[in-house]
Amino acid sequence: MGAVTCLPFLAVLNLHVGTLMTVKGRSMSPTLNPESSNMFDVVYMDRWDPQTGKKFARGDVVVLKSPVDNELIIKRILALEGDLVQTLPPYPDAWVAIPQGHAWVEGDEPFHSRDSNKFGPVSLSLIDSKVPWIVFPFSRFGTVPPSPRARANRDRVRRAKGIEVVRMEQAMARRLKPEST
Amino acid sequence: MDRLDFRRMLWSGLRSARPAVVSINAVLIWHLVTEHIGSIKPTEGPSMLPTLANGGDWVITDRISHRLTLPKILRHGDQPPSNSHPSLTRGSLISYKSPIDRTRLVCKRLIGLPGDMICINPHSAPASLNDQKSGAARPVRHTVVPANHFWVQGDNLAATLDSQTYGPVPFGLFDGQVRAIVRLWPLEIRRVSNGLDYIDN
Repeated sequence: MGAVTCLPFLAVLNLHVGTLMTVKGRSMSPTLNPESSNMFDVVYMDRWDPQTGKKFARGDVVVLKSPVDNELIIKRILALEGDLVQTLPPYPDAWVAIPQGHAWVEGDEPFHSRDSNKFGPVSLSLIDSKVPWIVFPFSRFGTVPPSPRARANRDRVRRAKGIEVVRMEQAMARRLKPEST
Repeated sequence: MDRLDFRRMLWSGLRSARPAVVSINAVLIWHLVTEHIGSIKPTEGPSMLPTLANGGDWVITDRISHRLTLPKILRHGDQPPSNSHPSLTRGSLISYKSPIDRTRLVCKRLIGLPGDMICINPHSAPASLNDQKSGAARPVRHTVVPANHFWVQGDNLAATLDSQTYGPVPFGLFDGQVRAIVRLWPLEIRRVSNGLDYIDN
């Protein structure tokens, strides 16, 4: 009886405050699931900050729903609205301006990651939670370290000062590929 | 105080806390139901006129059936899913998280599913799209809705911020389907009808 009584409380906690999740895949290596580890990392997913409207910062690790297949993916935010980003190969343009309410996300591992270089800027509304801490393995317990390529990534982002946020229409013109007839 | 006394005190304390526990749980369960199964919410804004009034209309949103059936739609990939899908049909009212403002839920009409070709008519587009150049200079554009995205438009084409502005919306932002529209005073409940007509060819 007593255990059942706290189930709604736990469900709401899970929905609005945070939860633990195992990370699968190498895309965030070496920050999460480094090559040297043969076990999946467990991280804390903070749902409170994103849901209360707290602003995201460049360098935050976030969990979001992939715009490609709706799966949850874990990536790092490189740039936010108004920034100019230098892209990596699969993306058709060398530089891209991040439109209103969007972000550029990439994995820490440049080769095993399906990220914004593949699908372009993502809406911040797709972000489910922020990942502030690694919980397991205990040897790496603590806050998520910055990306090993943080310096190089910072150089790829231009903060567009004095330039207004890209109009959504221009951003869409990029996204809509005209149908070949 | 021996151990038995302590247990008796604990039990009596729990019994007196019972009404509080029950009422807190009722609130939490109500919240979980509105989050996962269905909710009723007020709407505002002119974008869905004449289907939804500028203010005062409430919508009953079904937030569970898409969780049960959406994967079927997604699996179609680039193939256009049949419009007879029980869960999601073109022309139904849906609510989704705004892709440009993560604090807002938006209610619009579903126009296109993955694989559909959309014609963007600049002459019917909102004024903000036309203010830079004259409307005539903008060509009519066609686009195909990519896999795992949908296309939405407001019913009031003159004043709506929708896919014509921000493009196809990923299914990850889907919130629910509007099943009924409620006006509180005078009390009136309308079932949502499909607002689209098909042109036979």
